[in-house]
Amino acid sequence: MLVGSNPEEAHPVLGMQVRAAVERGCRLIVVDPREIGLSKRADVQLRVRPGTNVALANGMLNVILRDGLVNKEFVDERTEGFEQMRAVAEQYPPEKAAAICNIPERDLVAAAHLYAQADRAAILYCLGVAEHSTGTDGVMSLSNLAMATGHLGRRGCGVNPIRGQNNVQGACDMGGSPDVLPGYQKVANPDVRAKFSAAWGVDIPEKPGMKSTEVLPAAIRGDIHGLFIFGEDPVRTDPDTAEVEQALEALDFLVVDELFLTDTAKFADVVLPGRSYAEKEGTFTNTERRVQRVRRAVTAEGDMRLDTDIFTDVMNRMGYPQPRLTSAQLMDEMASLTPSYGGMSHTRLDAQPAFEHGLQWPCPKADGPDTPVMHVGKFARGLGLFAETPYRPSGELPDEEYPFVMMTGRILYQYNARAMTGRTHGLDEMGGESFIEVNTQDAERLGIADGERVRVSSRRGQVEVAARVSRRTNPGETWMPLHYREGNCNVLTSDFLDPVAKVPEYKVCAVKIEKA
Amino acid sequence: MAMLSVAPKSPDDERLGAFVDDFRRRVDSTPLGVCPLVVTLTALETAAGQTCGKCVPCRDGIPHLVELMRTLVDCDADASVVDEMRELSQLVRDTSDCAIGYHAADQLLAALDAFSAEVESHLERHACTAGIGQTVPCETGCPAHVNVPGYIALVAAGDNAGAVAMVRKDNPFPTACGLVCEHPCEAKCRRRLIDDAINIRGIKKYATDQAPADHVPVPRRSPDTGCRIAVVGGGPAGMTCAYFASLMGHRVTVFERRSKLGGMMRYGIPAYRFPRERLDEDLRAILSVGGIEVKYGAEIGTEEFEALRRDYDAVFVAIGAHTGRTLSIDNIDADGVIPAVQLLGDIGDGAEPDMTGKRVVVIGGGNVAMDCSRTALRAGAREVSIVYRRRQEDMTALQSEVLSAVAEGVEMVTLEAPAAIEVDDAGHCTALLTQPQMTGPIRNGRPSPVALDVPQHRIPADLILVAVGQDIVSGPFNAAGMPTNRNRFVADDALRVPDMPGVYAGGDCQTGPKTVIKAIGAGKVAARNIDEYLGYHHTLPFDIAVPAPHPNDRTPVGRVNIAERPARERRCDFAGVEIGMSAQEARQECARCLRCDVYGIGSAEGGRVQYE
Amino acid sequence: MSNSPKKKLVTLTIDGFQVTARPGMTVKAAAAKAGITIPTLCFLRGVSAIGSCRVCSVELEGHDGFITACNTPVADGMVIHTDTERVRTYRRNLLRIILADHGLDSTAYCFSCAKNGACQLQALCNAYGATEPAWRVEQERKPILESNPFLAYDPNLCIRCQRCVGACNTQARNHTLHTAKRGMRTTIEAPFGPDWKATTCESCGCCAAACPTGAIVEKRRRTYRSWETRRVRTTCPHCAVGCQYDLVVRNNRIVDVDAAPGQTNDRRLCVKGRSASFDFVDAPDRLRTPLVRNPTTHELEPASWDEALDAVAEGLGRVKREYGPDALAGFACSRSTNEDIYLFEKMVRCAFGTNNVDNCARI
Repeated sequence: MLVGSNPEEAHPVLGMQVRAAVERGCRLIVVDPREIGLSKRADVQLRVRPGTNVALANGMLNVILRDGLVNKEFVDERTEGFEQMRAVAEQYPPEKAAAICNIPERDLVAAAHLYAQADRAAILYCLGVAEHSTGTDGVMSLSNLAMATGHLGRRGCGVNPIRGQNNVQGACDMGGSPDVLPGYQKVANPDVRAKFSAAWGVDIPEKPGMKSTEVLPAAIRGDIHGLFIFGEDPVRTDPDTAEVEQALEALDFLVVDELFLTDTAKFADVVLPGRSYAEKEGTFTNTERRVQRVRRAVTAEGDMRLDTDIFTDVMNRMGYPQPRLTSAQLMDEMASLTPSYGGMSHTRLDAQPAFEHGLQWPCPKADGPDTPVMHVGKFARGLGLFAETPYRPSGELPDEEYPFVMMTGRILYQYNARAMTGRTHGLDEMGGESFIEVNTQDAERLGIADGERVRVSSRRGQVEVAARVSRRTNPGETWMPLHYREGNCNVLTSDFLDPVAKVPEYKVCAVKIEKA
Repeated sequence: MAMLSVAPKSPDDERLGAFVDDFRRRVDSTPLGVCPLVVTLTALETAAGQTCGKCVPCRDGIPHLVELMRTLVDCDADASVVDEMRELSQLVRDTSDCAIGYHAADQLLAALDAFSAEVESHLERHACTAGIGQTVPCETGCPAHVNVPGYIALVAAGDNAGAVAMVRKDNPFPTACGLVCEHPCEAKCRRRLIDDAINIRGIKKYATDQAPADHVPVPRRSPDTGCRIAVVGGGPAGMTCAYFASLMGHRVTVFERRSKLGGMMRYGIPAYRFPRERLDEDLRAILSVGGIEVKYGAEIGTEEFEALRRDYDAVFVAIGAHTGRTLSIDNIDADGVIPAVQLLGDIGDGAEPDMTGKRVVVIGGGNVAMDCSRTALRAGAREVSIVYRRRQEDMTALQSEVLSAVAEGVEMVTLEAPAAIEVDDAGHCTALLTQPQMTGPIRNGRPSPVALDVPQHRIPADLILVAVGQDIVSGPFNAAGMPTNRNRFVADDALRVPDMPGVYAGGDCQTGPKTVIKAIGAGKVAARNIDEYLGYHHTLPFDIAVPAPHPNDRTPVGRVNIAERPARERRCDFAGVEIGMSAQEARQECARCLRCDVYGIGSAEGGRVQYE
Repeated sequence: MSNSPKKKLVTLTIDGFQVTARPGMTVKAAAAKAGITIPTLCFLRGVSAIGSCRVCSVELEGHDGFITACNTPVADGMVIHTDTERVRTYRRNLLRIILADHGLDSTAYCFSCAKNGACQLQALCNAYGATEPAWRVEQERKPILESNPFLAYDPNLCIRCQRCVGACNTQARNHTLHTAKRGMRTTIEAPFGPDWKATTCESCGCCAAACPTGAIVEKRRRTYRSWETRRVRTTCPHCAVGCQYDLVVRNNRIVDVDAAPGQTNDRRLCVKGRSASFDFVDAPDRLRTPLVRNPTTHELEPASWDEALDAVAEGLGRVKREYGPDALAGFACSRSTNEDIYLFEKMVRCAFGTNNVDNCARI
């Protein structure tokens, strides 16, 4: 079951593997407001109203409960909170859930049966689940589905997030988050703080930090004055561009460590030229928790430095004595503090079989195995906890003024803000310009022809792009790619955040469309 | 999900099926006299057209073989081309993935071997061998080279007597051939290209039905030469020789072992297929030429044969193949076990057997086995089974004969090999024990039976007829110095017996058991060559003109087959089974003839096989 | 996939050696166990084993023809000969036939081919002494299809082994590239012609990677020769699949990418990974020196590292002094390496003294 994931475009090699699975006889459920390439191969296609994933999952759970498809043994032995979840799910009979999602009830029932009755079933979800103001609930409700049916802890099962970028998994693992240290060790935990304080020789602050999406509003408020941005371009990639620019302007001091003079770097007080992946040693952790090596192939000409050396210099200059370490040494240090990476090192990753296949965490011991399948026999937390996930509508719904829902996403031929893909001649021939997908009926009503320029505006701004008229989006719904500087969809997107993960609702905002 | 369709993947497959049927007819009617290398090239091109395009040896190798073969066909090749073809063919044969590739190469290699004389001629003489060249197919296919288009035209014109005379110009047995000929003339009939071969035998039968042979006068005998020719055997070969030799003016004495003439036509073929009175029509006509003396009951031994050589200017040995082969199984000599030729021979002499209420088992799958089984039915047998160790489609009998036997109620017990004969205390057979077989690898063009590892079957039998082939009684002649090979007389293509000037041999005794028309062809050749041997070059007068042709009608029309009396009726008597064509049917059938004697190759020099 | 370990092993004889093999293993794989290499051309593990080139044909005792080692499963008691006179002759002649199909006379010779030195046909012909085409080839040159920005198809060099078709079908599962003009005229219908945009081709280049000759190539292949390059195994920087590939490097410049085996992508790549993962590294607009904002002009101006780092320490230090450590924050890119992020996070927590550190996982 693919939920809010279009791997053929966003994760093409995974897309190839999904196609292969389907061709081998794997049944496929596609949950996506748009018609995506894999929809054609799906057994059940659920074109849900954007932002209604939770209602869908609750509705499916209701059918599973109603029709006796719960894996009782699994629920009894391995989970808790089932009754509380049931109480929520019972409020979403299929006819109600289907109405919220704007899909035929029988398709919802069919999907529930197909998923629950499969011998093994995997859920692959992507940013179509996460990038909502209800993103956390979306993930939790999918986990409820998997736990209720016992589709966890076995090969070919699980609730599998398909990460948005190459090293989102690793960045989170590394503690690049305000509330956790490497290996998801909680800052709030005094034992954890004690361990890191001992290792690093300074007291780890107790106060939890701000999430990135909270930092920028804080800058406008005057709570944040100095910011170090390493390799990010929030002007382009964060929602509501105008607000981002306002925040950056408000900062006293901005440092950007970058490869290119990005729109964000232009706001900086100091810009530091770092090195690309091809010019350094290191590791990435892919969406399968697979840690794989990055190796230096070239050294581009110029006065660029290794980013770790830059951080070391800054640390020392700010009074923290940080020895200059190689990437391999840094990994060893990190591994010594991070149990799930405890058995990993560059040396082990450079030897077979890890050279070819990487290592999947947890891999706590240098001479022990890695872990291709998680939650086998027992959940990491012990018992799997069912979550109570009532449906909440998106932060911004269409109204009379802004009658269309706009979603955003990735196309095959570009990647994010095009820092990399934009510099490859040839890709622009394949996907060189921004556009907005509009349903045929809507376009007819608005008198817009395929390929015609339109002005798209939201409460936050407006852009001018070409319209692509098709039935790929439902009536009342539109979609824009997220890659482009000209016709940047994030001028329009809203900064409604998920209350837990503080992820912005990129996938739903209200817009209006006019002929340009 | 992709939609399914009931239509074929390739929409032209069905249409192609009809096209291929049409194409097959063209292949089937490949004219006689075509250069075999051209046919080989065509086969190779067909194979190249069938390659799926996957594998290198087939996809690239066969088209190159086509190119090489074309230079050989064009007589532009030298020996190195043939070597290259062989080398490449072996590679294609050994490394192709599927039969389209390796069969093509196998076929080419076989063709290069089989047609080595033609290959050599193309390489050395830069031309085809002398015999290559097309002729009128029916006439050429007939061993007696009867002017088929000529007599069909006469029938079409309503001149049935003329037609009989036209047949008799080359074959003095028009009635026999109208009734029992295996009609090789039809094999390459050009009409097959349009629909199907002309029913040539049927038209001939119609002609002799309308104008009985003994009512159509024979040509006048040439002036007496005084030469004496001994013909040993009064069958189709001997009597044909006698007919033509006497027409040439020679004096012929026929030595017949039995009491009547006709050989296998009387003593092998049952009356229901060839009514005796119809055979007598041909014989009366032959004897009406004059100059033919027949000595009945004349057993020719070594001494007698030597006497004939002394007393006659030439001798034609045409004794046929009249001894039944036997099987080496237990109790083959038991009472109630009868060789097929003995049964049929006795009937020929008028001894009609009575098998009322008996269970009869016939061993064998040839025409004789069919004749025996159908005879047994007519003789009142309770049940008749044919036991054969191969499959029904492997039987050597004409399939029409097999079908007729089945229709009349003969049971086909196939894939059972005779293992032993069970006898009672009195030594009379009670059953045939058989070993079940499965069909196995193909040898010499036929699948060989392989014994199954299962218990034997028992087929109760009061009479067992053994029809597993015939042999020649060659001993006495062999003793007199006539060479034999595998118990057959040795003669060259002119039917001369080596080192015995004036002695000729032909028919079944020279070829092994074959057909009536082949024996007739041999008799004709013997007569002509004896005439030459005696120092003459007789040409026989013939003055019937062939009617002018009408333009060909190309409209496809079904072939008129010869109808048979209903099985339930005919199985009760020995009367003829076949019903002749009506005048209406004969007219339509004659009109289908494309007259190859005047259209196409027939009008070209060398396009006909005709003797004056 | 067979997971019944109880299946009996089979024993066969290859060139006189007794070899034990799993049932289902190919003769080629079994031979490899005995250290015997059987050459292949059209075979590509896991991608294509249709046995079209027949170069791996070997003799099997008691069998009429030859068998192809690449796709024939082992059977107990097989006696196989991989190096007889006949095998070698057939192998050489098959290669010569393929050379004729390769159009050696109608195309320019090897030296002008992008794959010179990396061509499997060239290597095999060399190894087996196939120096001349099996027959003369007509001097006919077919047009090259190269409208696609990355990919080009030269039908003159195509040997119709169909590895590209296998790659499109079984690797990319895109089913776009296929054969046409069936039979002896079978050709590859590569979607790189003038109408390339109208096709479903995703330009992933799996076909070019699969091509044993220079028929389908990434156009950039023409800019370097294999022997001038070295390879560095690394991880694709685009999406979270983390495909493994080799960067192909010539003179400190990345010139190409070559997909690697392994569980992650097993030699697959997409258009971004294969064609858009290295040009940016040495792009002309790459930042090559630190920039510091001039306090008077307010412009970013080139500076030395010491100046820049001092400015950073000064600027951040001032904020820390004036507003406390929690007025500082750091964003790390979730596209950089684990080691970078680890040290970045350590920098924010230890040197800045705040937990205000985050990555762009949220955006």
